[in-house]
Amino acid sequence: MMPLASLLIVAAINLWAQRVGIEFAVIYTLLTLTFTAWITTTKGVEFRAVKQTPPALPKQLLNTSTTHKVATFVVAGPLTVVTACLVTIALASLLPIALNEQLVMGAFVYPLLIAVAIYWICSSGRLMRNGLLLFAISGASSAYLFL
Amino acid sequence: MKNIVSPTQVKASLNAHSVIGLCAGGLLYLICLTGTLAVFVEFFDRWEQPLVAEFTDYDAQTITTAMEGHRQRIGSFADSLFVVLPSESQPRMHVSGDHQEWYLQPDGSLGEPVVEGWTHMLRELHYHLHLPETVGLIITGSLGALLLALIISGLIAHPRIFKDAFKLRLGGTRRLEQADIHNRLSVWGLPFYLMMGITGAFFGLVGPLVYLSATAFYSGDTQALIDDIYGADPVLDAPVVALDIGRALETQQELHPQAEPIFIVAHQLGTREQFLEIGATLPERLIYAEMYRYTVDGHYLGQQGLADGSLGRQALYSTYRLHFGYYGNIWVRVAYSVMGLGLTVIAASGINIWLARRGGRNWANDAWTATVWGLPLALSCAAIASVLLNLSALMSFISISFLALLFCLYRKDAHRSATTLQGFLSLSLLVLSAGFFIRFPDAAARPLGVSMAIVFTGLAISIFFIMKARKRKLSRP
Repeated sequence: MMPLASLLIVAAINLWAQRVGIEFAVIYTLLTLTFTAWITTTKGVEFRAVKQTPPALPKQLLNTSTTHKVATFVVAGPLTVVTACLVTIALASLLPIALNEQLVMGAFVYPLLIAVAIYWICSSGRLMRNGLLLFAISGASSAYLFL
Repeated sequence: MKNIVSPTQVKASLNAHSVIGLCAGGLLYLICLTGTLAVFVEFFDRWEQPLVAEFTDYDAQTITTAMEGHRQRIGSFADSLFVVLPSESQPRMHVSGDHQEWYLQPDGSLGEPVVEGWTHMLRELHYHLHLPETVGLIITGSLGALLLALIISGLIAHPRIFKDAFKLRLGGTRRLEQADIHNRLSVWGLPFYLMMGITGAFFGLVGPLVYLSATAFYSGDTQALIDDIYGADPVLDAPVVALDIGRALETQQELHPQAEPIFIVAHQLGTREQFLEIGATLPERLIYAEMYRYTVDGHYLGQQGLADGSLGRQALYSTYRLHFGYYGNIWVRVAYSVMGLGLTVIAASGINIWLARRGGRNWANDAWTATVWGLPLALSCAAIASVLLNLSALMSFISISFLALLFCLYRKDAHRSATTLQGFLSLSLLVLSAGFFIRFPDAAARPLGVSMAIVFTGLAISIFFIMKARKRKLSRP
């Protein structure tokens, strides 16, 4: 089914592109796909009898200390943003394209890099190690860029 | 995905998803809600000042009169003087420069000043939360990055998300019901939400990137970096001559007949560096505008290359319309608002899942109810205060949000508090619909008033149905 679905999506993009151009065609196809899927999902909705929810929250979410929460915020927040910024610029500067194109590429990769780093820090239990690693990476990137 | 990701990683990802969601939940909800409404700011602008002259025809004399009128009103030519041209969706012209802005009469003379009312408050709330601009932009940009982190952690934490892509179970346990709503809305909206996250984070977080890149490669000169990416302004040194907009518009029509002018900017008027720019959209292109440059007496200088320059430049100049949905017809705006509402519901249901998993109740349940239903009520009441009573939109928004929070904390019953806030929200939308005609009895305001009244009444009825559905215990508090 997946190849057929992919083929139909490509065909839909092609049809839209003939009418509104390729840039809008991709967006319109994705929007149409989403709405179609939502409508299909709504048609198959299943109603169940109401039940009480048993509490099932993992304890570690509530039991971390304030210091740990603040440390997580600092590492996943400002440190991640600065590190991602420096790494993006350093890596983008290695690309074999013009400097202005490197920076544009970096501008779009940068949010994704921050997101991946935030996910990595929040899903790992080793905050100290990860924080030090980020610190080292930002130091190395700074050295590469500014020395 | 089940084979690729280990159960330990799934568990860790679910924890990360919860932590990030809890940190970002409230603000993300506010940004999504205001973003959903911000899609329609052009309509709100018109509705808020319904007596402004509306027209789509203009000529060079209209623009020249507007620029001269602006100069006379503020005492000198602004460094960059903008005349925004009328369009189908915004059939009114305005002139702005040095932070002073007026709507125009059909002959180009200045009309009503552009009011910074409710729509302005909404826009600024979405852009930077009414905080100092740099700080606010970094926060809203970070929320874009957090949205991306939530997408990544959500995908890894739910190995069955694609397998269950069409499964929606309402009723049952509160956690399962909310999880189904959360997952079904998010999995199918994934490409759109990825795009929103990337472009939103780009707007807010590009500042530090520009600063560090300029330090590394442009000796700290950020303007040099921006010029290198977007293209620099022309540098002229010519005798001062009189403005000839007509000739510029004629040349524009001859050279680029397919381009649709949307604004004209006059830079450094009255100096040896003066020049004109015509910003125009191009068919089948997502870029905000291509800039065509002219001397003030109408000689063509060239174009900035936003439509045919490097791919990076084209991509950067497309992000604004892509993020806000300012292209195509009304149905594109409707589609964007539905997707935005979907993301708002995802933000709300995410916290609802956490509250259901936690079990019991405390102040967090009440604070969340105040956020989910108090913020829309505050926005609606701020519109009443600003449009109908000429009060400050921001102060009204903050006051009502605070009152809603106090009310929910005092009542200590999230279900009943939600019902009360929903009732007030419905009522406020009806007051907004009817009050408009009392505030603006003029016949000229009627078409706009009727259109918006239909929308607001429709929303009020929808909220009434949500209240009824909750009463039938399809959902619990």
